[in-house]
Amino acid sequence: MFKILTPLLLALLSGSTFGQADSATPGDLGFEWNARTAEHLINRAGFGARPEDVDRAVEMGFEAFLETLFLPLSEQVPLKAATRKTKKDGVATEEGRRMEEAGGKEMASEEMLNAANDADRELRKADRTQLEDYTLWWFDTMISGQDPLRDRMTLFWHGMFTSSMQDVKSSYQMIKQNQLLRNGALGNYSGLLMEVAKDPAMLEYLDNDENKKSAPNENFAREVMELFTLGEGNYSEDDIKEAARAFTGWRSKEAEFSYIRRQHDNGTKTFLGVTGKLKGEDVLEILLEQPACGEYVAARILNYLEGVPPSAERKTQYGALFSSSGYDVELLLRELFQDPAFYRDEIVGNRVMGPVDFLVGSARRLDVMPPRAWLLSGSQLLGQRLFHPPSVKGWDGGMTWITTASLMQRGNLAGLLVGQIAVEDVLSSDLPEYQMEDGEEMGGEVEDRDAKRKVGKLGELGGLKKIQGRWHPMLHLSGGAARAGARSDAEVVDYLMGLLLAVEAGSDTRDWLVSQYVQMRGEAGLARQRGRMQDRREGEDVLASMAHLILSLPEAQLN
Amino acid sequence: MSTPQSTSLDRRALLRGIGALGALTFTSRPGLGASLSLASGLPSSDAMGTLVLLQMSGGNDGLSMVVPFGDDAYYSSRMTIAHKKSDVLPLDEYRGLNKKLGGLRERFAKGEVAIIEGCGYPNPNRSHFKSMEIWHAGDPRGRAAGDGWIGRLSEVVWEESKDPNRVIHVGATPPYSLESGAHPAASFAFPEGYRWVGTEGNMESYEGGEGAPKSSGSGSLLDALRGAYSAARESSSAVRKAALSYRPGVAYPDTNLGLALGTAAALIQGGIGSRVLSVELGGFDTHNRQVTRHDALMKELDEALAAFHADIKGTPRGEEVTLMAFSEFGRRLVENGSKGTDHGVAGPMLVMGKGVRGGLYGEHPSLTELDKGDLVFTTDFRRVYGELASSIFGAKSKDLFGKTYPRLGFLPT
Repeated sequence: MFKILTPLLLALLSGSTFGQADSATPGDLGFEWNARTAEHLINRAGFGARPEDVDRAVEMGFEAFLETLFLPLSEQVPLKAATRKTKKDGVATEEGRRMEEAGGKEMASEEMLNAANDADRELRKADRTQLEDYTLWWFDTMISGQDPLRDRMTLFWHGMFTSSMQDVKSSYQMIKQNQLLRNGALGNYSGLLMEVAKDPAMLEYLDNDENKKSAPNENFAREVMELFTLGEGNYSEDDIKEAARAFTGWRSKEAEFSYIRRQHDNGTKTFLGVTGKLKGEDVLEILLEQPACGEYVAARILNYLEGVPPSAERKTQYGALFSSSGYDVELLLRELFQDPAFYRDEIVGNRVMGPVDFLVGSARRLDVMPPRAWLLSGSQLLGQRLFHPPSVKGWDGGMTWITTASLMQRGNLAGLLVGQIAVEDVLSSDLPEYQMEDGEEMGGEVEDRDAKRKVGKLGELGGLKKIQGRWHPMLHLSGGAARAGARSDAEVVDYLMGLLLAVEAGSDTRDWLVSQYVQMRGEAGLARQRGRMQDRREGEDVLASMAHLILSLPEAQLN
Repeated sequence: MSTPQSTSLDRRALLRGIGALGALTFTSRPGLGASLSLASGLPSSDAMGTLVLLQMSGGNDGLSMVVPFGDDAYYSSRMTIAHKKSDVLPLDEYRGLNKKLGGLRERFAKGEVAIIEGCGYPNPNRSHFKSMEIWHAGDPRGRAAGDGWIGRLSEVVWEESKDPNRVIHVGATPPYSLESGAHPAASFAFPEGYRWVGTEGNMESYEGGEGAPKSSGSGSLLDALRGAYSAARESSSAVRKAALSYRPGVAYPDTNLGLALGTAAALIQGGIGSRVLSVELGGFDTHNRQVTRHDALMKELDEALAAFHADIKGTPRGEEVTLMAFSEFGRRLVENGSKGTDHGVAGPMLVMGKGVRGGLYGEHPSLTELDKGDLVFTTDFRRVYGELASSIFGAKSKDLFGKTYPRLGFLPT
């Protein structure tokens, strides 16, 4: 249906050519469907294309592969349930109830107070665990690749319709929001916007549940325009003030939306040129009617999936397509994935992977299910802790993922994943690369400071400690190389690069890697990759060491 | 009622007088860059002016930091969140510091703290992100203007000489101000984790020998990554050595800012050539529960600054340090219904250090002559940037911001 509909729609909308789509004969893609374009689509619409995924997609043909991205409801991964865990969700503990009965905090005995506090602590612990379990569940679906595009777009919306556990402080509400985003990830943006605006976690995160008639709170009104619908510069400060009035009275009570009529400002407002007794829903409708809205959201999606902001021309075209379709996300994505411009050289293999892409992609390519702590602490260490976006703007992405520290930590996480280094090595604060000068050994004071720092700042790294000792994955790299028919040193390196890198590395990198491999193999006293059992085990070790090195390279950060 | 314009003039002159008295010591010095280090026997190139940038992210409510307790309009605009006159630490009859800023008040009295009031820029933008970009770029276009202002400073001052230890952010994500195509900054949250851990087999390869691919300067994404890769390898060892072998003179508070400033002190004292250090204190977006939240931030700020000051004072390198604190905007004068304030415009900047001529600079914005409910800025923040760049690094504001911004005089020329 879309193949017929969309070029027509676009021709009507733009009145001119759109990419090469309508100049090509019907049925002609306008781009070549091959290993390069298939790997690109898998990496961008999902995570971590493995050589066998690429082969299968190419064999299938573009149209058939595209259909696999849009799963019918019956084939989607069932949602992981969440339960209410905290007071904010309406949960009361027996101990708390007893304390209240005894007259509350002031009157209750110390014993009762302690019991109530202990019970609260247990609640909070269970709350944290529930969010970690859910995060792990999400990582698992991304790694297993059962519903890649839904995972991909849920991650996108999570970075756009942001809320943070740090402010919301309820795993139930964070998970509910994520389920909202997951269910609506490929549906209608307009419906999603309406639901998100009334989502309890969002009401809390942007303070709209404290937005009162007498003195409005502008936080939500501003961010909904700047970051969720129009983009900066498409509204005035007066529009923010008026919208804030319209959103008064929206509350979250025990994790449910409620409307408090007496807190709602029922007066006349003028918002983006519309005057009336506007309610919050009216403001959202007016926002959806703005041409800037389709353009802003389409551009966010294109920017996310392509890795560069779209040209003004494409922004206009995709914006018009998006809004005229009633904000149909699936339609937009189908159009994008068959747009030859999506496969241009500027885009393919030229985006810095986010931490989730790096971690999930590496696990997929190596075909291992990593330890829990590696995913949870690793993503945090690299700057993309799920359910904890750094600000309402989400994650900036692109080169901002890369700092001198995060680049090295990506390498360390790769080293842990392939079993080449131990957690203790990464956590160690001694200076192996230095001979301390006389009298320079760590004094007591310094040790104290380090101990303190570990509690305070090693938080992200410290979580890795849950991986006990060295993790020993079953990688089968030498078996894989043999199956791929890799015989010469260069062929072995080519096999590893093909497996681990999403981009075609240049000859400078390849030549250098071959020389490093020859050297490492020589130092390990190994002949080529064949021979006795003993050799094979050590050969596997050298390949894992190479994998560690390759995943630490600049090229391994791109897809 | 006192107005900022009438009372503070004399008072301000007096206060600045105290600062100027302190500053007499410096008149014999050619600038911040040289003589003290000579006196202490260190080579002059070893102790050089260092700038520490402290970003207060989220929009610091200036009126809760430098409280205009002498202004009736302050109390009538903030019925539930105003700080009582008896609570603030007075600087004069009009204004006082937040009660949590005791350490800062002490050093202000010693003439080591300059408060520049009413800082902002024309056509203010109340978006966190856009406004922060403007502050980071020192340009109304924000990111569209190109490199950040420290990136441009690096090009002007150090030209072709590159050193990844020179500009360092201690924290998770470096601010846009450090963005530079030619001089990539190093960045890490904690020095312990700032290294690549390899094995006997691959460590040497990672360190990179003759044939290892290098950035070709083509401006591609791969080149940018290769630049960061080299910078990481080059700075990791020096940074870890400086930070982990450092013995601070005081115990830093166990807060993010405390630990970050402790690391900054280590890098400064380590003599690894760090000239610009950046740290961040977040959480200033106080749309609700402002008093509790903002007071806690003031406490964290004051304790961390006090420790930093106590740690570096009296040391040759420490004497050359100037710290500047800023935020993307101040907040609305009138409180909202959630005991908080929404995004506003003008706010104070702080500059402190041994070489600073303490006192009040700029002009406190009027609380009655507002623009759509917001304070009107009185002092372009680029005047502050320009003076820092010129006094510490010898750079001209015209080369950084396209025009000359007059000095305020809080640093010797």
